[in-house]
Amino acid sequence: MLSMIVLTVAGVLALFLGFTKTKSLILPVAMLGVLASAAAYYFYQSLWGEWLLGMMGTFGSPSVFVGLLLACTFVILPFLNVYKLRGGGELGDFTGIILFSVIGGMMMVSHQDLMILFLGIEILSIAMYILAGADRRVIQSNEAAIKYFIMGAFASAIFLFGVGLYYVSTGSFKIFDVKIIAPELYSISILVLFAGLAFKLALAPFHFWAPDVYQGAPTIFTAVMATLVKIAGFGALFQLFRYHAGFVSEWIYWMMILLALLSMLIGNIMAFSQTSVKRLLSYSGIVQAGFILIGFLHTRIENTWMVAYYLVAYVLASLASFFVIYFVENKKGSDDIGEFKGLYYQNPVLAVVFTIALVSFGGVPLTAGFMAKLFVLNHAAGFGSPALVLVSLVLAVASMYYYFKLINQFYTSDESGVKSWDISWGYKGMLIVLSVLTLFLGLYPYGIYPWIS
Amino acid sequence: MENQIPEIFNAIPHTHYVLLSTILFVVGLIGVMIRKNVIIVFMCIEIMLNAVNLMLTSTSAYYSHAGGQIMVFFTMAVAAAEVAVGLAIIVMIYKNLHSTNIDVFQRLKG
Repeated sequence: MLSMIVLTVAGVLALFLGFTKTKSLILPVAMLGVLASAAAYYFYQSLWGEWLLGMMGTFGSPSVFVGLLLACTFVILPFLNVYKLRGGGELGDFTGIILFSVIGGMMMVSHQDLMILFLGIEILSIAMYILAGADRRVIQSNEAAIKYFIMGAFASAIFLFGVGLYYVSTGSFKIFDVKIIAPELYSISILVLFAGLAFKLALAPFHFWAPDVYQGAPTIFTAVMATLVKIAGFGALFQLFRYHAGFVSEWIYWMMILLALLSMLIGNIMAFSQTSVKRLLSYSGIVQAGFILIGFLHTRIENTWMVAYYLVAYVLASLASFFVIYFVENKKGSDDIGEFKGLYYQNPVLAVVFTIALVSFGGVPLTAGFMAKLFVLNHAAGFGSPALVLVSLVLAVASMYYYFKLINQFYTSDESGVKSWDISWGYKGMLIVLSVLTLFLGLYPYGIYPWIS
Repeated sequence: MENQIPEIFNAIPHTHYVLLSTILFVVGLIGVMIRKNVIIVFMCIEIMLNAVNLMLTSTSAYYSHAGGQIMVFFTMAVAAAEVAVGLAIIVMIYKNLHSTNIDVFQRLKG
């Protein structure tokens, strides 16, 4: 609880600093807030294992996902500084909103009560609607905001209907010590809750908003959407299924396999013909979400590390690629695939960082993405579904086509005569760290095992 | 005994409340899918949320468990926050495009 209070205070401070002349203080305050929040979470955990009358728990998987959320925020915040919207006048607002959305994410991953889960989803989503429409004068950004808002509110209503059915069928909002009164209604309620979360996670067939929103939103906030929302959503799903794995009917798992396969299939097919790189990565995000969902089959607390490892690999690659797109878009004014032609000759660091991120998405050996896919498919094979393993393997290989089509662009020489350009060393250093971590986790996957299990 | 639930409400079976709220929810769901004006779509989402509120309150009375009614308070607060942000987005779009029809949003596709 203390960690959330610390984050709230940091967020309010950031909002107020935005009004004053001391805008350079916003970033240090926000980053200190995130660090202090992490410290409060891990050092006071023993005092309050359970918060708010047991409505939130810190035992087990929540602590892993909260750590991931805070680490991800810590990486994103410095890049906000380059987002100069009309001279950086609104930096305080956006920093504050991101910090508040992280509180929503923390509530989602540590919920033990559907009331908290619903509130967490809303706190996170409402913040994201604002961020999607951050470029007020740009019509694409407006369109992204309204599409995200309508679909998000619709998904929240469906989720809430699931909460209502759950309440009818069990007589309580608690997700542990369940006393099932109406078994059929209970399974349906879990399915509706799952559908509501699948909307937020952009799993096919609930994915149709994602490409538009990812393309239209300002790139730096697309990075936030692709990482923070996915971590929080999968953390919430994990917490939900961890308690209910023993009760739900078998057909829920068939539903899950169906959604995972559909996500991988539709994401891959649609990604083939994209010309906008942001749109391509949004479809690739749908494919990755399908892979992560395989890790949820027969959810148990021991599976935390597998889901968390996939999320770490996905977040590292996502952050690196969206930041690179951001810098290229800033320089050339578009995220079209043609703008990346000859990137290696103009800015070698960005090209290499993007290449490593893309091969990690694709699952090439020696990267974190390969090990993550290996663990997940190993898990699927352990439950005797060789067909699932085979199909996902084929789809993973097929996805290489569009990743390498993009990588090929970086290394073909460009005749347009764009001079080589550079970004400041601080950002370059952070991008290199993201790539090195991707490679390190690919070579030595057990390096973070103690942190995420 | 003014804090007792009136007899007339107990006379209606709980299933009827659940069915009524489900029907209301489906009405809102269909509205979201077929209506063209963003503000009407938005109202349909509110109908969906309020349908669930009806389900929660009636179930709360049926089980004599206060949690459902507390949840209704949270839902209403959340709906209010959603209205604030949603209307702000709609106003922003109206300023730029001079329309709130869903068909004008066709710039992003591929």
